[in-house]
Amino acid sequence: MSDFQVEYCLLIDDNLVDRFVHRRLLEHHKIARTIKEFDNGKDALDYLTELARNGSPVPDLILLDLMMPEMDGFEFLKHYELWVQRSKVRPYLFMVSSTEDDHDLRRSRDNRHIIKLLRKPLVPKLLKEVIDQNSDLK
Amino acid sequence: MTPRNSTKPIRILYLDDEDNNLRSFKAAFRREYEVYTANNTEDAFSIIKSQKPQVIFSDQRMPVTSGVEFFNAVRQVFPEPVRILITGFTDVNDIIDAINKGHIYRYITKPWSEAEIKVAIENAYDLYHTRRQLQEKIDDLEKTNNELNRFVYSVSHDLRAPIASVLGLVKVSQIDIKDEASIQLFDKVDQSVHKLDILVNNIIDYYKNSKATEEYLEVDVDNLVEDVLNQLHSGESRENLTLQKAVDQNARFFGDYFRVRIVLSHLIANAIKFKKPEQLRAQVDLNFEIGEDQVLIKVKDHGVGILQDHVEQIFKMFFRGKDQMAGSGLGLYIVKEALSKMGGSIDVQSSPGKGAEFHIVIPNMVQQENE
Repeated sequence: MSDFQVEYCLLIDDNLVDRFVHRRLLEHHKIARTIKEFDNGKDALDYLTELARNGSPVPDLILLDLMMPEMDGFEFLKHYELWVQRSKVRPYLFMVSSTEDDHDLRRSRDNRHIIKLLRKPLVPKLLKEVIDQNSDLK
Repeated sequence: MTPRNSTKPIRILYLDDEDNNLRSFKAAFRREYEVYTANNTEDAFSIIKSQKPQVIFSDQRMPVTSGVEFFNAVRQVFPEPVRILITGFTDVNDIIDAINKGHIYRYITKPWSEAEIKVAIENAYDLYHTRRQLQEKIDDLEKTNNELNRFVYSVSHDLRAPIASVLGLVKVSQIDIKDEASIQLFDKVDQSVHKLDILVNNIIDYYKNSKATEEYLEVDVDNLVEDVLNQLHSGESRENLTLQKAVDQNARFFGDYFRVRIVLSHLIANAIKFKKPEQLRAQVDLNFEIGEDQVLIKVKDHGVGILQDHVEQIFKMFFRGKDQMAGSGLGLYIVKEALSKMGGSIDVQSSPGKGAEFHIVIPNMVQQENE
């Protein structure tokens, strides 16, 4: 039994400070053992595709920022859909955002890839709970 | 008299079936005004469309269409030009009727004099000009108002991102910093930034509520409460809350989802903010009674309660109780505004030390939805 909740987490966020904060919180609260960061969705997609092609272990948790230049979180998810179909795995995916927009809230609830939209700053305890609640869905 | 650009004379259209009348009218006024003439309504309409005259004269007696009928048709499509009827004394009843219904501005009896027409033109143009200026002012104000709202909204949104980053950094500091003095400093940073966060969120809620667009969605109470808890501001997170929920659902609940959420968010945030100092967690009882016509929501907290003197005032903008953790003074004002936009109501029963119980009534929009 691992002492971390998940093995491998991907942080996709253009904001350096938020990536720093999330990394530290995930480590400290023993949520993810290994964490890899991307500052944009495109590089993250390329990386995921590469992993799937090589048969390498894929992340089991993804924290995805909503507002990013070029490719925002929802745009990322359109491509991610294909990746999920091909790689036949389903990481826990959370959208993490400072948005207060009701439209974003509804869109994220309607998106089947998003377990939940989490408000920044991240509340590690809440993240842990929701991962636990969803462990059977995986 | 209204000052106007001398290089741009007033544009006038004159409609009359007798070409002689048109010629003499044009001869009399073409030096001072830009005069267009037409001997049938079809031509008149195409001139109105292309030349946009500010003042239109029409003879009343014409073979196919009367002047009043013509003006009535013009008014539907081109409301701006000022309409003046030229007529003999014989059609008094028609004319009075047309003036009363607003089809024409005034009438001039035949035979007309040049001076009379000139005064009529100048006065009509004054009216035209004033109306136009007023309309421009209204358009300007609406535009400014919309821009201001959008500006406040986008600024608030943009402010939230760095605020959230700072709050995140403070969380990291709570993990990594052991020095007592620094811990205390970071606590103060945390408190201040929380206040800022709440203020910014209140401004966003205030803006959302000011928008008229109301959409009625089916409200799933479980989802609603989950959203409310999820969107609690950082300082008021669900860790500080014990919530008991009871739902008595006798009908489907349709309503303005986001306004309902705003109302509950603020009441629950307040319950957390105003818990008794000895309480570890705020305790809130949420009670939904969903009927066909209306939805009653009771929000009962077990916090410090509200002073009798304050009960009347808590829903006012920028009112603050004299407490340790003063908020922005916007929260309950937004609650009240949101409810009035939904056609709902709120009242509160409270005494100091005994907590507060808010009763909210919202019309259930289930019927409207089915129509």
